[in-house]
Amino acid sequence: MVNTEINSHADPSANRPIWARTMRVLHDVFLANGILPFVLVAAIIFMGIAEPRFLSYDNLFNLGRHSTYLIIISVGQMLALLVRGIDMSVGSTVALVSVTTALAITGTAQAIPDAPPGLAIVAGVAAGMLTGAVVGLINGIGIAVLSVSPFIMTVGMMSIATGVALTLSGGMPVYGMPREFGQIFSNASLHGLPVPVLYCIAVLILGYYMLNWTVLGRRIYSLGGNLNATRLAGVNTTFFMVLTYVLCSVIVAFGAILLTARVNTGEATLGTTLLMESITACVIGGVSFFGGIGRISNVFLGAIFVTILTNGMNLLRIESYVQQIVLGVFLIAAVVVDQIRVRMLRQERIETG
Amino acid sequence: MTLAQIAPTTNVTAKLPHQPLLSARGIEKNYGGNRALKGVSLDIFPNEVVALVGDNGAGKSTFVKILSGAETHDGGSILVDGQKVQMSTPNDAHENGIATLYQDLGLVDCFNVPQNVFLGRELTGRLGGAIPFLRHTEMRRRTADLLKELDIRLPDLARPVSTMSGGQRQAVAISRLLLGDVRLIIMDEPMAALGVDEGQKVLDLIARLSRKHISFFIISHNMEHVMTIADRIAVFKNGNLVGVVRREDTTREEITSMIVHGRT
Ligand SMILES: Nc1ncnc2c1ncn2[C@@H]1O[C@H](COP(=O)(O)OP(=O)(O)O)[C@@H](O)[C@H]1O
Ligand SMILES: [Mg+2]
Repeated sequence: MVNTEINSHADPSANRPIWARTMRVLHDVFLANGILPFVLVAAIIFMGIAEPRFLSYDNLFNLGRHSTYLIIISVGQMLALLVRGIDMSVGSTVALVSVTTALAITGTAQAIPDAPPGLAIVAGVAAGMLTGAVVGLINGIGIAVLSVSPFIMTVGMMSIATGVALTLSGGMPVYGMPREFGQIFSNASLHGLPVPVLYCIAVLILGYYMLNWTVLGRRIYSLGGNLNATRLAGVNTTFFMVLTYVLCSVIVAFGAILLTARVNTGEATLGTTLLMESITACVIGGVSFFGGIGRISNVFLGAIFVTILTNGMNLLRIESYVQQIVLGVFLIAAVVVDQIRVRMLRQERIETG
Repeated sequence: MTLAQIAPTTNVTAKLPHQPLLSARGIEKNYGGNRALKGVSLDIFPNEVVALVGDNGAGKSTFVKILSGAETHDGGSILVDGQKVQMSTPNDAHENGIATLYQDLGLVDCFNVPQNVFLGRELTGRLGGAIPFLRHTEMRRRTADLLKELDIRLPDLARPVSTMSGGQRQAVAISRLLLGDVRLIIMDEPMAALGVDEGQKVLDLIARLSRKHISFFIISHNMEHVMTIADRIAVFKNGNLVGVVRREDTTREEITSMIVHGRT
């Protein structure tokens, strides 16, 4: 009789020495999650030893609050990476959204002097989110319809968005936000939790639901995993590609509104470090540059890691340009490790296949 | 027991009903001045495996693409169950119960088995009648059922298909096709990229499926596979159908001669 068993393999690790089993577990953790769990643990231990203040309640609280912006922007970046793209324009989108939001708020307040501040805030948030949607729509159309490479398209957008932001603001910060704006999006807290943290949790929950429990999420992963196979399966890939970039920029816009509330001005220079940091957070969090692979929980941890890194280096009084070097090294290392990991996954396939 | 013994040994004519599942009538295809198909007529009946052989450039892939709706034709017509049909998109073919296994298999490497099987037709439910969600458990269950029905055994459905061997991936791709109401599966060189053992397993799967009332139309270069699996063998040369012979009535030598000399 022909053996129809295509593959079966017994677990050979049962009676190996403890260190071998430990290595095996670490190996599996690496294949499943990449470099992140290792560097995160290392960073926390190192910082705890090098600077005891790092583990103080105040610093951890501060760190949690501070990380929310990067987490949100990284979730947006993650969507672009998942569809095998990239969003180089996240930082300038933040700047542009900050300016349009602030201008809409101050503009509304000027146009209708005795309007309640709520009206101006609603107008500002709407303008900001709309700005994000338009940026994402243009990125998406360029990439999915006109077949411009995601890198080139979003680098172009980076320049455009920065230029528009500077033009609109005349290169000056936009002042005059109502106090309530800062309250609602930055300073208030609920049961001891600052509102940015709550918004961040909401973005993470919605993102998790969208990516893991909806058809849209499956589309985002399959677009990056195999665009052609997705098309052959009868999916309108162009539509979903554009939609993904719109979602990416809308999420980034939301982060931008929170940041604007924190600094209490519209600034065309806001968010300059976010591009580097969000890509690093995603890649360290195991989002593959080859598309289709990545978990939001790990992107969350990746963003926490990047925040710990910058926060820790600040505590250690490391100069900001040295920090840039460190961040760059981590990004490149993460990509190299990602490639090694992909190769190891293929190797597994050959060995067990 | 060898595969030849597993393959259907019933009298082929007795098994063929009068009504073909699919009929191609005088199919013509021109690429510029190049006449890739010069009026090919071929019937595929329910529950049979038809192999298509011929030299490179004979027009096999072109013919198969036309039947699967991936390519238009310039002359002739296609009938399904005796009814003339339009076959201009893969969806048209799918609606007529015809599915095609593409060369690159159409799988998403980083997806596991149920995710691939249900790609593009995910099952959803509504939580509390309102919030849509993916029915992961149900999709896993149905995939397991489907694979069981097809006698396909895979080590772990939760593993990404990138970790699976060529033959396992082929099995996933084939079961993907079978999720819908499929009566005919078209394959262009399905065993070409596989090792000997893997190819054998796919042949075995085809043999089993053909006993579950699914027809196959398979392009292959491998004469041994063809003689093992096919009920009938069609030979193309230079865009013409040289002839169709029943496997019992022919030999490898005769088929080779038809391929080379273009006559029966
Ligand atoms: N897309 C195409 N454009 C132009 N000529 C083609 C195309 N596809 C196939 N042909 C030509 O049609 C003929 C038949 O090709 P094909 O069907 O691929 O043959 P086979 O699969 O039997 O090797 C060949 O001469 C080939 O060059
Ligand atoms: Mg061919």
